[in-house]
Amino acid sequence: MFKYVLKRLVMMIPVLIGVSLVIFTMVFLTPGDAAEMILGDLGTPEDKALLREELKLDEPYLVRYIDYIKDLVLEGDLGTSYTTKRPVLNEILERFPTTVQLAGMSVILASVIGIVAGIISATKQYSIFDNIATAVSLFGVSMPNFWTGLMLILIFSVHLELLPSSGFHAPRYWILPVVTLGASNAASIMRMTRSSMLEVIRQDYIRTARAKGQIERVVIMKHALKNASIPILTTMGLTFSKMLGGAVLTESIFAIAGIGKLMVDAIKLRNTPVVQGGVIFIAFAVSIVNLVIDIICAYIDPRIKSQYVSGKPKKKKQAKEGVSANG
Amino acid sequence: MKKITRLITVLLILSMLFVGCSSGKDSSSSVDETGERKLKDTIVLAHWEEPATLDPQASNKVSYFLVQEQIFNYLVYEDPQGNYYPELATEWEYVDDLTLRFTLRDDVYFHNGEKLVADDVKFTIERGTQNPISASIFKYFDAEGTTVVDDHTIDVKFKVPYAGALNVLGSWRGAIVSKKAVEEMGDAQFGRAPIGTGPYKFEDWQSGSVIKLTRNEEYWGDKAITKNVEYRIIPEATNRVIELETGGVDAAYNISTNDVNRIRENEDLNLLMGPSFRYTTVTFSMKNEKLQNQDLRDALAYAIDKQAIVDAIYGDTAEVAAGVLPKNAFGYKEFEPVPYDVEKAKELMVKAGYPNGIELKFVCEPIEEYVRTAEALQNMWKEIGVTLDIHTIENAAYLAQGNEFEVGFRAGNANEPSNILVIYDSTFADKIQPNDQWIDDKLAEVASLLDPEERTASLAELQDYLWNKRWTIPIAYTNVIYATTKNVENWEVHPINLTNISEVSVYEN
Repeated sequence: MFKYVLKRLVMMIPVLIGVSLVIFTMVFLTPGDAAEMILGDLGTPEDKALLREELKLDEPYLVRYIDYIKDLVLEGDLGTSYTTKRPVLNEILERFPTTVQLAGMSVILASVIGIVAGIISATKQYSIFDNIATAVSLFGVSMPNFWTGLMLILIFSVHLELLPSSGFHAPRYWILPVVTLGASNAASIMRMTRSSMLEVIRQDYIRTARAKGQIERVVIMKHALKNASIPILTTMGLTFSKMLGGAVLTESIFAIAGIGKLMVDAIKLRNTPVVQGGVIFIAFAVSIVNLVIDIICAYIDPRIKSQYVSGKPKKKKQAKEGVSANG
Repeated sequence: MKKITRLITVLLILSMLFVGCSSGKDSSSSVDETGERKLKDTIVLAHWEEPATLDPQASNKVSYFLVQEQIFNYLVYEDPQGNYYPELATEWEYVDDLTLRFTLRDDVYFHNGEKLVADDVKFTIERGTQNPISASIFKYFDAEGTTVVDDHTIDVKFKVPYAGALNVLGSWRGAIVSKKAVEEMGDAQFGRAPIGTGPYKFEDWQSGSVIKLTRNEEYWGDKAITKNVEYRIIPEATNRVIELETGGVDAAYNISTNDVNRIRENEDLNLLMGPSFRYTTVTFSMKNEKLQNQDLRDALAYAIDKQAIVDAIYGDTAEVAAGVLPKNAFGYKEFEPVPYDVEKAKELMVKAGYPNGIELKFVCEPIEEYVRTAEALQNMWKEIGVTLDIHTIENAAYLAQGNEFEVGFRAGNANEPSNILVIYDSTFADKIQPNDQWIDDKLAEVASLLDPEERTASLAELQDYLWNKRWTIPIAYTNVIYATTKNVENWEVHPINLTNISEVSVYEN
């Protein structure tokens, strides 16, 4: 297992270099000049030339990229923000906890709602609850986040004046953005849980468990859910990863100082180091989250673990564990 | 029994949730034992943009300056009418046309405990001339020639006689910084935790979220009424108003005209509005051959119903522009706005050689105000056969494509005439580019005339020339708009959002 984790960590290096090359090229090709943006229209051509030189914007593409990678690999330096003149890593690390908090709470909310509703829907297939939950989840998946956010602001902030609409600095400020981000993801987790559970509860070992006289709660929670949990966990992990870099709209609507908003502002100003640093950092964070999810899956499902341990499935052991898992 | 327990649990959770959701307003009495209203010790302000830095010489946006205004002082105080009063300097006089001598107060200390001396002033001017962001404003200052006479006297030198000297030293980038603090901290760190001499000290900055200041108890002037100031960063205009309504903030900057009526209807809020230095104008590119034709520009001017545009876009928060300078700028000259006369415009189109109309390209940023103005122009000009092709383009991409446009839009915000009229200068990279030597000479003259009467006369001549050329068609003078709760008092309606927070009181509910 340790070897596998190490292998995955080493594999992240080419991924990150690839990401850095793509983002560097994209930012380089995007029209716009940081010196123009920073100085505004009152800046004289001389001032702009001076600033371009200071920011090394005059250097050729390859020189800039090689310098960037050299600093990144040798010193872990993601560069300096053009506007604040502070290290990009500091800027990102200041914002990242807020994004993680927002994403984490949203995933927890989405998972609690999604898994509970999914299990009930699966166990009571075609019941009224199942039909309503399916309809609501379809509605939830179809609603774009920005629309949900604006509607929640309209109802709870504007009309009821119950909840604040901007910021993330106190618990009551968490509610609307977390619900906004959690709502649509709850729907997708619910649908994944339902289909995964439906597949599992039709298996023979569930029938066997029931025949042995196990009470229904134990059958569902212990035997069925455990085997159905791999796709659910994967969905949760993907959702969390997606939110780390993609909660931009929610962060913008609720004026939350997260990493998504930092990057949008940086793109507007052509603040290249922050855009590059942000993307590389997010790529790194997403890789780590995926790795963690894979490790959790391996611990839940011994069949997956056995693949990692030997490099190829151990038929005998897997079969044995399969029986045990099937109860 | 189980069901009842579950129901009670759910109800308890819901009730706790709603208690948690309550607006958080203090329910305790807001009146003290003597019957007087209690002052709050923190004022929370909704700011529209996070400053990139709080270093005055590295700043070029009002959104940065309005925070810096509380932390720093200037040599002189310039009131919104353009009059100058002593601030860090007790007196000043021109030793000759190129030398301005300032005598400094001797009781001023920076927030780090260092005493303010003339060296700090020299250092500030040096930074101003060196930093690319402020170099254009300090371009007439001779930093090397500026000499410290003694700890409290400094001779500020200029390369040419410069009428805007006090304006630069009395506002924005002219704020005096602590030499020792900058040298110890470095530019980047100083911009993040600035050291000034102002009524508030920097306390904390949570990136993208909030900037906190606290009262300078050793302030040389009148101490701030409210102990703490918090600037919360809320970019969306409507969200700033919602926060005001829900009690999250005490005052909000930059209110959108869309929210004005909502605030007026709310009896718990105050809408504060007043003249600003902001103006909007349609601009024509003189690089474009079609628009070099004055008859065409005149025709386009006659075909605009400016009052209708102002009414539709700004309501009663703006008025039709009647000059090339903002109304309250030094030397402002009022003109009779070009009347809305479609027939006359059609005649001018024929005279210009376009009896069958013409197609023009309008390029602007995707900002609601600009786009709505463009759409109004599109409709109005259609009547005289002009097809306006509207392109919205993000600012960075617009600047990158070499400012190629035929018709554009500009919203400016400045009070020094030479800074406002710089858009007509040949060296100005954006918008008009008339490349007119007379204008360039006149602009240099306006910048250098020290005598106010001579300067006014020169400015009047320049404004006549520009008004008749119609390289721009001024549209509106927009107001500055703030909103506060009823608990906020003494809020000055400053034309550029630089309200002095140390004079503002905020009371408990």
